[in-house]
Amino acid sequence: MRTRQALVSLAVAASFAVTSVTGGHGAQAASTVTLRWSFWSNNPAEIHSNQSIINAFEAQNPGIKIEPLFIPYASYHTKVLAEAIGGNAPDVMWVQYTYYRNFADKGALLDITDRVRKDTGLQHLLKTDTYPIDAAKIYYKNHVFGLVRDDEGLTLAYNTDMFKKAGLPTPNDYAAKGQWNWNTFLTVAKKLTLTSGSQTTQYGTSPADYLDLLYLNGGSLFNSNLSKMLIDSQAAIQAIQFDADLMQKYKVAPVQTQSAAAPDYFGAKRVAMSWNAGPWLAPGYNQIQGLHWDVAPFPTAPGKGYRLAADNGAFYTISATSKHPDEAYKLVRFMVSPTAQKLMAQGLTTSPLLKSVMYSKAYLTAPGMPIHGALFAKENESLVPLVFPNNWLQVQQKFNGYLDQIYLGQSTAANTLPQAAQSLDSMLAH
Amino acid sequence: MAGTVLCPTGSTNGSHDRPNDTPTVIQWIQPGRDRRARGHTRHAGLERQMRDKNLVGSLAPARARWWQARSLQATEERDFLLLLIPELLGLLLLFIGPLVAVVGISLLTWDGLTKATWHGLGNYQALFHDSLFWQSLYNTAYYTVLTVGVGTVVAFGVALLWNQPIRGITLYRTLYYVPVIVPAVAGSVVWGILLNPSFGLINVILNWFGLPSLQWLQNPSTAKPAIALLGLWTIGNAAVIYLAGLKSIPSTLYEAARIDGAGPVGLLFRITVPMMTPTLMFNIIMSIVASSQVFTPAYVLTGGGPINSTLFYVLYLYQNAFQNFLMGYASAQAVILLLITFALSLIIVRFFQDRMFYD
Repeated sequence: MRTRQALVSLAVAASFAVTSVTGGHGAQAASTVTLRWSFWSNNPAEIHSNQSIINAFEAQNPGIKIEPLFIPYASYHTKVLAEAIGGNAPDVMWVQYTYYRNFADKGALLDITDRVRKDTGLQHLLKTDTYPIDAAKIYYKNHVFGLVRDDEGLTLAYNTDMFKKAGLPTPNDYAAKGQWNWNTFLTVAKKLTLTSGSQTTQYGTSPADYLDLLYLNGGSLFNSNLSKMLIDSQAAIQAIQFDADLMQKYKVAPVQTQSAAAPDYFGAKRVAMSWNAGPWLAPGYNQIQGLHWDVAPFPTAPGKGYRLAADNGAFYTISATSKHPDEAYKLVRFMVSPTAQKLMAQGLTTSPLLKSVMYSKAYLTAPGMPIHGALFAKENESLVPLVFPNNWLQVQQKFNGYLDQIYLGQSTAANTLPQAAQSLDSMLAH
Repeated sequence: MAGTVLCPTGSTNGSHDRPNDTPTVIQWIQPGRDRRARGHTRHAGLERQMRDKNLVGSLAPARARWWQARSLQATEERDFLLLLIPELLGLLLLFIGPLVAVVGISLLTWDGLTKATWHGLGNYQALFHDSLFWQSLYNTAYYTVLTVGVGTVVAFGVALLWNQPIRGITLYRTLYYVPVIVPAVAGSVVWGILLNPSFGLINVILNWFGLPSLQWLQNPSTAKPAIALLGLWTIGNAAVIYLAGLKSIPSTLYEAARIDGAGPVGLLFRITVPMMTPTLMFNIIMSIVASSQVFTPAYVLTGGGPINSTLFYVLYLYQNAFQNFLMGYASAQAVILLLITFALSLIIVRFFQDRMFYD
């Protein structure tokens, strides 16, 4: 009876102990500061690359330990937001551009304007070694809430085997002769679309990105004060109709709605060309057996120059509730320094922010880089800024609905986009 | 009943009626320690008497502290309560607490990070004027009816098959059950590939039979059935419960029915289905609750599209909370979902009440 009572008491005590343990807050030596750094990633190579950055930082700063927190992208911002609400946000966190301004407005991010202004080393980097677009991105309402992580570098990937088999010149060959435009692109895509009976076994291209086509065609998504969406312009209607035609009229691209997650057609060797290939895809593609690939510039619109939107960007930010803002700033500052940027570039995880690193031989000839990998750097020369409104996710969801109608062939861009512009403008601040 | 030591007030049954001026309470009195023993009740005199004469001891096997039980049943009851404490704690902290919080937040305007402001029933009013709210309700209702209707029939059928005494039946049961333990996201991604209109296996199989390819998740009219098809993958859960129910039907009923000349169809509809009504009710309610919360496939594969045809209720709730920073609005949605699910469960229970057959 006594044993039984003792066992019962033990079980109760143990269950209390288990429920009261919270994870991750081990004892620290009084002099060591532990910073939590949260990030997402598309591939394991990035996690390794981040770990090497952590090692380098800890070597330089003996009193600071970094605890990496990897959260898959799909749930990243939800988790970070939930932690911020609980007052337990990671000290240093990546924040995607779609959330950056929202988090800043709601006071979740530390205002580092003064630190940045006084940081002469950083000012020097931003002035001399960074593209003006990226240097300007960090300012929101004249305050700085984070530093830009990386650069653009989107290209058209193509399967070199498929081109060889079809006996076609590669996109780079066309581009060298100044002949790589939407018309030649379409011709090439048609020749690379193979059918067997009623089934298409290979498509010429993956679904294109409407944003690329829009900007290549000389259009813009918003007006300068973000009060109107310029999707009813001639340039926009042409661009989006071309995108839909690739799928419905010419049938050179698999049908894909804007709202759905697109599978990796290129990695599955089902398409000959793929839009929006960045350096982060290199480690993954290089591991796929039998996939031989390279990158090329996007085809230009007839009569237009080469022009792309700088629409991406993740920021290194410090949470407003961090208990160690000085150490956190050291980490954030380190991550835009040449040392860390070189480590990041070596992993081919993203396009480095600093021009000196981006154009360095170490990056451009890093193992795994495609032959024309220099394009990842060169694309940045053609960027124009694109800023999104704070409620872009809501607006985008509604916009996707209109785009889906066009992509499914239920209506034309000329019919739908003016309606869409009217309806979406009402969601934008005036 | 011998458990009177655990009853703080009142007699345990009417046969222990006592006059008003005597306490009906059996006090766990420790002389000098208990307030009541020091004369703080109306019946102080009797307490002293009881204390002095150790009357408490005479009413129970031995004088003991309140946590020391005095009989086997008392021991078991005390252990039961003690072991229940962690569960009750969990229920309070993880269920009742958040539930109360959600109802509270639904009356506020709050973005999660800045100060909340009182909004009363404004969120509920705004919801009724929100076309996406009604769209999401419709999508969820469509999906629930489809999944519960088809799923119940399929799960029941699978359970009937599982009940056959053929060789290798355990292997079949395992194979049909394995999809239940596949993580939801991984399963959704795999199904997304299978349902790909251009290269997916489902369309390839349809083409073998001469049927045309369908657009599945890329078309508003086939997207919800596609996700319902995905949902059918996990009927193993319900089938297991149906199997347990089938096993509990006494075979004598079947023998009697066969003697009376019933064929297989008669056996199914006159014996099996009526005897399974409790299990059916349980499974249908569980299925409705689960289907009305469909989220993962839409989140992973369609993002609510195309053209909001797979914008399910919980997905819309999630978007409002975590993408649009409208915690109060989303909480109001959560409360409405709770009320709807509760109402549906009540209706199902009512429906089955007069149709239940217990043996």
